[in-house]
Amino acid sequence: MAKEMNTSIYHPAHETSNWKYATQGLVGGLKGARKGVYSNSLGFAGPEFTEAAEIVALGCSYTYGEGVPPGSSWSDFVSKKTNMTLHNLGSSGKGVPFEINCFFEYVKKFGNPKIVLCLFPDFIRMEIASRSYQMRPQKEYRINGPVPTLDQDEEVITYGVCPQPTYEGRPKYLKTPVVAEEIMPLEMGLMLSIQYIKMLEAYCNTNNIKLIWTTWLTGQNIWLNNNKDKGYFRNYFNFNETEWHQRVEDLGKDVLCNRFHRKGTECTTEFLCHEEYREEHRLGFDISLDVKISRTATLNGHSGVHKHIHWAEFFVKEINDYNIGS
Amino acid sequence: MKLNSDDLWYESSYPIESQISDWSEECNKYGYRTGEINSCADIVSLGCSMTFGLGVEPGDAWPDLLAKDLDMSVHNLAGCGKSVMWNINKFFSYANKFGNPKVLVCLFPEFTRIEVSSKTSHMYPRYNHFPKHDLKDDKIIRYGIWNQKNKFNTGKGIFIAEDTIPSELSFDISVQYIKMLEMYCNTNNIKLFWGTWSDSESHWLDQNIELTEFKNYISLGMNDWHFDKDNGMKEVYKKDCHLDQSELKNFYYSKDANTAPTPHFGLHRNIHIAEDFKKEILSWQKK
Repeated sequence: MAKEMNTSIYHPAHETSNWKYATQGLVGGLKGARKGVYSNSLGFAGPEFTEAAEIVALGCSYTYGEGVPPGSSWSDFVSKKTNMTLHNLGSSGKGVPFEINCFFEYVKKFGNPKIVLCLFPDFIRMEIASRSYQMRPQKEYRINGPVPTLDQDEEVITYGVCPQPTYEGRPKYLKTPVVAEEIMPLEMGLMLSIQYIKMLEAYCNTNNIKLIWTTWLTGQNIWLNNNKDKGYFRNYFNFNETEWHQRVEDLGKDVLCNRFHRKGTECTTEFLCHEEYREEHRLGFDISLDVKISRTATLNGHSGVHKHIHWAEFFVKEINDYNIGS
Repeated sequence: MKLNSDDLWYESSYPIESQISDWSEECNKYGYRTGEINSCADIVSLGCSMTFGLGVEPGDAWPDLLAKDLDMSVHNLAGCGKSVMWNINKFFSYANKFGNPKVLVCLFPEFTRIEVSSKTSHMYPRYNHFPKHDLKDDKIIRYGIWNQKNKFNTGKGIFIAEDTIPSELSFDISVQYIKMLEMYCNTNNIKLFWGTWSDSESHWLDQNIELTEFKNYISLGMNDWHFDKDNGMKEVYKKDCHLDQSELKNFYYSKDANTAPTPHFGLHRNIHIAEDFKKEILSWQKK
């Protein structure tokens, strides 16, 4: 049972604990990454961070390397191909604001890298702080830290949410604790992501840091590419996501094709390349290690090594051709 | 989700040209209460109505007094009712278009204000200026809310933003934005000084600044002031000073002392704020 509403005037600045989490950074900042099997003590893939690397990679689970063996994510390939040191700040499930906040925390601690590469997720993801008995995420594992019970009414929790992508089926009544994914407006996540990216661009462009960012979400990429001339961003570069599909008939194989098909079922021309990696990675070359296919033939999972190699080649090419706004 | 809303992308980038002001006759063509903006000024000021100068005549707001004292040019980008987030976004748009100023001075409001974007069929602000047909047409709107209390009253949607956006979230975001602003300024050779007039924030920061990583916060002594309710909301400082200017308009009584429940700052407090910032700038210039 939810507790009775406390309607007394409340201001977060009254509480030292609120300042503590707010100044730590979104959802714990650098300490807020979800720990994986192969992560360092902070929760990021790869070795411990002791000093600034030449390259910093930002992103979500794709960048962390979910779905591929350790050492085979796009950022690992970039590091090998450029022979430069790289720290991978990719963190599973996180939104653009978290990732950029982590970058600023990193810079504060270790200094500026020479290059920042970003493979951003959907822009509607966001990080939230709320009092636990008033608003919670749908999935409690997203809460950063212990999950308070409903009678711990003054507990403030921080968590990431991926709001429901449409407004259909959302509740018309508020019942506490409200579900963050159902209540938070999609447009708010999008607005925050845009603003954080703009601040990242401003910081990098005035600090002589090469910033190259793109996104793996096809619709987002198409829109950004079609509207490049409007000048919303200076450091966005287009990775042609429309050439890639996960084909259900082939257990979710990533297919590189010549044109966009929503489900990859109509691909007639499949480009084969990078065959030299196939033997080393076997099934994981084409298919993500975590791919699942539901009864309704819906795919769920990340990408195989092949696509990571293409992401890496895209970033390496842009590093070499670097010219912002191109 | 459809990403093809030009308005959303454009508005989310907070273009410097699109300020809307109810006091347009006192403002420049972009909607700021400052001179026309054609190139970068020496000083840029950020804030809400207190920095806009709603309690004083045009030219008497603290950024104007500060610039006059230091013989430097100023662009006052303050917006009435606006949040930390709005201000910092505007600053980045300004810097992107006109370059970096030498000095950035900010008098921020309470950190629980926030800018929201939402579809009108899902959420809109309690106090809104949107035409009724806009709300009916299921448009995406952007607005600021003053999010001082958490209410979460149960009830039927369409949801009221002030009731549903957690004030912890807006507080958190304001702190993040200031952190990013500090990093930008400190690596770009911009001298940043920021403070806040909000009692809650300044009280905590004055006592606990060492617990934070903020490097550019200054205390503006806001707790030394109060409005005397028994004396027509006269603005009272802890001691008598600036008596030679006390005959000037709005010195003790701000322009809205008779009309607003909590008036804006009058000339006396604007002079003090300008002096506090001036002291910091001069001490930095000496170094």
